[in-house]
Amino acid sequence: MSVGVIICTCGNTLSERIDIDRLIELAEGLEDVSIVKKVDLFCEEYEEVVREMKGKVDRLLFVGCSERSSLKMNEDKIAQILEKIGLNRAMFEVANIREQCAWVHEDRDGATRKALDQLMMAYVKLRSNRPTGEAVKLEKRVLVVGGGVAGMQCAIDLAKAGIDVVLVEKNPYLGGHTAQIPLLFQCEGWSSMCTSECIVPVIARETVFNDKITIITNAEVKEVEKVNGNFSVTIEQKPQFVDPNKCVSCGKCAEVCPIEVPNEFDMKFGKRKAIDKDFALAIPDTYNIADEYCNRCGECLKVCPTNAINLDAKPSIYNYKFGAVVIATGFQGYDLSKIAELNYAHPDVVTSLEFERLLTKGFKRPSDGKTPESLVFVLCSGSRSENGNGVPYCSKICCSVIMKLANRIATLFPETEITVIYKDIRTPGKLEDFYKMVERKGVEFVKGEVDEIADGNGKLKVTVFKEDGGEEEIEADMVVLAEALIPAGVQLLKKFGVVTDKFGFPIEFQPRIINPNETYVDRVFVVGTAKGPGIVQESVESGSAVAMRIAEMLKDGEKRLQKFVSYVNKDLCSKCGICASMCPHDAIRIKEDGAEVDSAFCRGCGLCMSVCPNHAIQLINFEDKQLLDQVEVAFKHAKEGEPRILALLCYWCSYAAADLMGVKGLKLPANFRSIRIRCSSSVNAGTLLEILKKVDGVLIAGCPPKNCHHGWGNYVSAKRIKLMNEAMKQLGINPDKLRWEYIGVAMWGPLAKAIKEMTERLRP
Amino acid sequence: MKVVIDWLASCGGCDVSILDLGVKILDVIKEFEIVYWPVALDFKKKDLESLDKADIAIVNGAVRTSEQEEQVKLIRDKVDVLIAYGSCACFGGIPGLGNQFDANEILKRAYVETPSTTEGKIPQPVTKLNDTELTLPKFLDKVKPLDEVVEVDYYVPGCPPSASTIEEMVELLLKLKRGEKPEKRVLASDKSLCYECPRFKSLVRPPTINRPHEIVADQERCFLEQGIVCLGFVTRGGCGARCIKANMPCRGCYGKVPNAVDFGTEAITAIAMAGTGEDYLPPMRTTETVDKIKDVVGLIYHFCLPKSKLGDLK
Repeated sequence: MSVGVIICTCGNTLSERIDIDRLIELAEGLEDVSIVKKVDLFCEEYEEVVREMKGKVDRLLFVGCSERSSLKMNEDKIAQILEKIGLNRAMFEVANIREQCAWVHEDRDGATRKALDQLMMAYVKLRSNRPTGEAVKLEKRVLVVGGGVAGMQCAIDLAKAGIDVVLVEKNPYLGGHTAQIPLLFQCEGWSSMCTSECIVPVIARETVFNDKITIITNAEVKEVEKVNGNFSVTIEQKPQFVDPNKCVSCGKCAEVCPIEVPNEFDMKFGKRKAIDKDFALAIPDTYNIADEYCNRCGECLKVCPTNAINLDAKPSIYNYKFGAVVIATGFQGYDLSKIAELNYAHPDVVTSLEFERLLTKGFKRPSDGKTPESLVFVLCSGSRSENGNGVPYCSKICCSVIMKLANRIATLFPETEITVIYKDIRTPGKLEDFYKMVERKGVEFVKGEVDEIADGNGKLKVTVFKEDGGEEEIEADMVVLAEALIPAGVQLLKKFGVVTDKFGFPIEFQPRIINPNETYVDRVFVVGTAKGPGIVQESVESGSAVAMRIAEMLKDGEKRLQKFVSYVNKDLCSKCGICASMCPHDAIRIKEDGAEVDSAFCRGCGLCMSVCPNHAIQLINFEDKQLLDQVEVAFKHAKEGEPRILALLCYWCSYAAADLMGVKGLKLPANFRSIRIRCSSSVNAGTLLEILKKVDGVLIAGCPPKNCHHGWGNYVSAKRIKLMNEAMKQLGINPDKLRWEYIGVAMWGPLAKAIKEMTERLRP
Repeated sequence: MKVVIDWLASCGGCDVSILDLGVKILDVIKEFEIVYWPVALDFKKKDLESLDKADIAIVNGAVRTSEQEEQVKLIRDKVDVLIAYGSCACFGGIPGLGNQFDANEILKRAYVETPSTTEGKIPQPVTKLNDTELTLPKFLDKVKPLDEVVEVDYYVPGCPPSASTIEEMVELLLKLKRGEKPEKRVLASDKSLCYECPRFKSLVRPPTINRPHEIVADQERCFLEQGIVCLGFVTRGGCGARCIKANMPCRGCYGKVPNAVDFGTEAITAIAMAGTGEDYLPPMRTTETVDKIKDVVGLIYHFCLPKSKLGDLK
C-alpha cells in the first residue's frame, strides 16, 4: 500500500485557521504514506501534482475542500484525476478541512485539532477502500413497452443512435390513444391543432420502416428477470392469424366475414368484423382477427388474394435481453361507473374520449341518434376528488380537452346550448386560448359539483351544487364527462420492480428535477402519460429525451460500477429477505443459497446493509468496520472536557447542509466531527450502538421528507431513532445522546442549531 | 454419569419441558444418573452440598436472588460441564425485563403499590419475630444470566427449549459421556428463524404495524409483511418454528443471531421499515407508524434485556 497525501491550503487561506504544518507532520508519520504534498491551489495545479505521484501511490488522500460541495474540486473531478494517473476511481478519500473545519471554527487550536482528526478519519477509511468492480456488460438493445407516440418517438430516436429496439404493443396497431383523438393540441400562443390522421401515420411509418426497430404488436410482457445487469424479458404475442407481410389490406375478408363485433378503437360507437382493421390508417398495415369472436367459418380464407390468413396460428413467445427499458404504457380513463352520481351507465352519458370517437360518426346522441340540442360537459369527473371517489390529483389536460370539444360543437352546431360544469378551469400555458375562445362563443360556465344526473323523459337532468351554495338543475340531451386519467401499466411497472406512488405512477429518481423520467430502477425509464397526464406533444418530447439518456448509457456497451456497491456474505445470510424488501432499487434477489445483489442495479444506498440483523450484507467502501475505524480516531485530538458529537450526515442533503454552514459563515464549537454516510438509513442500529459507546452524542441527519434519494431511507432512519430513543428512555439512558434531524441542503441553520444544542445538553 | 438439574429464577416450564422428550427420557435415565432435581424429587440444598462431585449440570432460570447466586456457584464447583438451559438461564428471559427497574422499585411495586394490596410491607432479608430471626435471600438489584455469575459451557436457548433442541442436548450429553467436548456451544441454528420459516414472502416492506389483536393473521404469509412484528429475522432458528406454526409471531426466545451486535437494536432496525405512504403525510407525522409499539423495551428485549448492549450505555 502506498498512500499519497495532498494537503491544499486553498490559496493559503486555510493556513490562517489551521496549523497546516501539524497536518503535514501527522501525515508524514503515518504508515504507508509515501508522499505528502502541500499545495496552495490543487484545483489549478493538480495536473503537475498528480503527475509527480503517478506510479508511486495506489491511493490518494485529499485534504482540502469538500468533495460534496466545493465548486472547484468535487468527488467526480477527483475520480477523473485518479483515472488520469491510472488509479481506480474509488481509491480516494477527502478530509474536508475547509467547509467543515476552517470555515466553521474560529478557534485555531480547536480547528487544528479537528483537522488532524479529519485527516486521520479519511486515512483509516482509505486504507481499507477497495477498487470498483469490473464493468458490467450491457446489451445494446432497448425494450420499449407501449406503441403510442411516446414509445414510438423513443424507439425512433434510439434506433437513430444505432441502438436496437424491441417495441411491444398490446393492440394490433401503433398510435395508442393518440390515434383515437382526431385533433391534437399544438402548443402555440394561439389555439392550434393538428390531426392525428396525419401525425400518427407519419410517426408510425418512421417506426416500422426502421430496420433497427422490431415491432411486436398484439403482445405483452410476461416475465421480467434481472440477470447480470440486464433485463431478460419474455414477451408473449397473441396468434397472428393474418400475416402482416402478406396482407395488402384489400378488405375482401371483412366483406365476407359474417360476424360483426364492437370496435374497441371506436370505444362503444363503432362496429367491425371479426376480421378487420381497427381503423383505416392503422399501422402495421394489416387486417387482424378478433380471436374471441371469430367462429372459424373460413369464409375469409376463400377470398384472401395473398393467402395471408392462417386460422391455426399459435401464440409466439419471444425472449430478449435488454440493457434498458422504456415504459410507455400510457393512461386509461378512471372507471366512472364507480361514481354513482355521474350516471355513467346511461347511454347518453359518455366520457370525453368516447365523445371524441362519437364525433367521428357525427354529432348524434347514442340512445336515439338525434342531434343533441343541449350538451353538458362535466369537468373533474373523478379528478381532484376529496372523498376518495376518484383520484385526488388534477388530470391536467381535461379542461383543455373539454374546451377543444366545446369549441368544436359551438362552431359546427351553433344552435347547441352548451354548459360546462367546473371546479376551476385549468388550461395551463399556451392552451389558455382554447378557453378564451369558448368563453367568447357564449358557452355557459357553472361553478359547482354534480349531485345527480337523472334520467327524465328523454332528457338528462343534471343537478349541480353551486359554489355559491345554491342548486341548479340543467337539462341536457347529452352529458360528456371529463374522466380522470390513471396509469395503465401498473402491473408492468411491478414486474420491473419500479416504485410507484399510490396511484401507480412511477416515482422518479430523486432529485427528480434533474432526473426526469428515470425510475428508481437503474435504466428503467418511463415516458408519455405513463408518467402522468400530459398532452401528445409532451409525450413525444419525453420519448426523445429518454432516448438521448439511454443512448449515452449504452454507448460503451457496459456499465461502470459505482464506488459503493453492496455484496452478500452468504454464510451469514438467512434469506429473511428483509434486504430485498428494503431495497428501493430492486437490485436484490433471494436465491436458493442466500440474497444476491446485482451490482449493476445497486445504487449503493446501503439500505439493505442497514437492515441486515446478521451483518451479512455490506457496502463496499462503506463497511461497518470502516465506519467504526473512523469513529475510533475521530476524537483523538479533541479537547478534553467537551462533549464529543459525531454527526452522521447523508450523502447528498445533510452533508451539503454541513458544508453550507461553512459557506454561509456560521460559527460552531470545534467539538463535532462528521462522517458522510450513504443514505441516512445506511447505518445499522447495531453499528450505531457500537458508535454510541465511543462518543458522547450521535446526530443522524437525512434528506427532508419527500426528498430522500432512496425513497424511504429518511423515514426509516427517523423511525429507527425514534424507537431507539424510546428504548433509551425506558432504560434510563439519556436520549439526547442520539438525535435525528431531517436536514435539507438549505437547512444549514437548523443543523448548526442541533449541533449546538447537543453540545450544551451533553456537556459533562 | 451424574447429572444435576436445577432451577433458579424460573417459571418451572423448563423443568417440565424435559418431559417433552417423551419416551426418549427413558434412554436418558438409562445413561445418566440424576442426582439432584428439586422440581421432580424432594431435594434440599444440603443434598447438593453433600454431593462429592457430579459431571454435568443443567440449570434453568436466571439469577435474581442471593440464594440463586450461591446455588449456581455451588453447582459450578461440583460439575465439569454446566449447561444454561432455557432463555432465562441464557439471556435473563422474562424475569430479565425487571432490569428496567432497581430492586426497590420492583419490591415496592409488588408489595406496596399494587391495587390489591392494603398496608403493604416490603419483605426484608432479616426479620425478628419474638426472639426468632427469620431470614430471606436478598433480592438482587439486577437479574443476571448464568454466564454473568459463573462460567457456562453450553447454551440451550428457548422458552422453553423445543423438543428438537432438547434432543440435541441429549446428543450433547451422550457425547460428553463419551468424553467428547463439542465445539458448538449454542444448541441452536446459526441462521435466523426465517431460514426455516415455512411462510411465504412477497419481499415488501410492512405497510404498517398491527398489534396482534388488531388483525387476524394470515397463516401462510410472513408476519412482518402483514405488519405484525415478528422477530424471527434476528432470532436464531432451531426451534422448529413452533410459534410460527401456531400462527404466533416470534418473540426471540432463542436469542440473537451470532453476528448481530445486540438483539434489541438489530430488531429495531427492521421494525422501523414498517409504514408506507409517508410522502403524503405532513413531516411531523412521518414516524407515527412506530407509535403503535407501546412498550419498545418489552418487545425488543422480551427474553434478553440483561444482555442488552443498549442498556450498557447507562
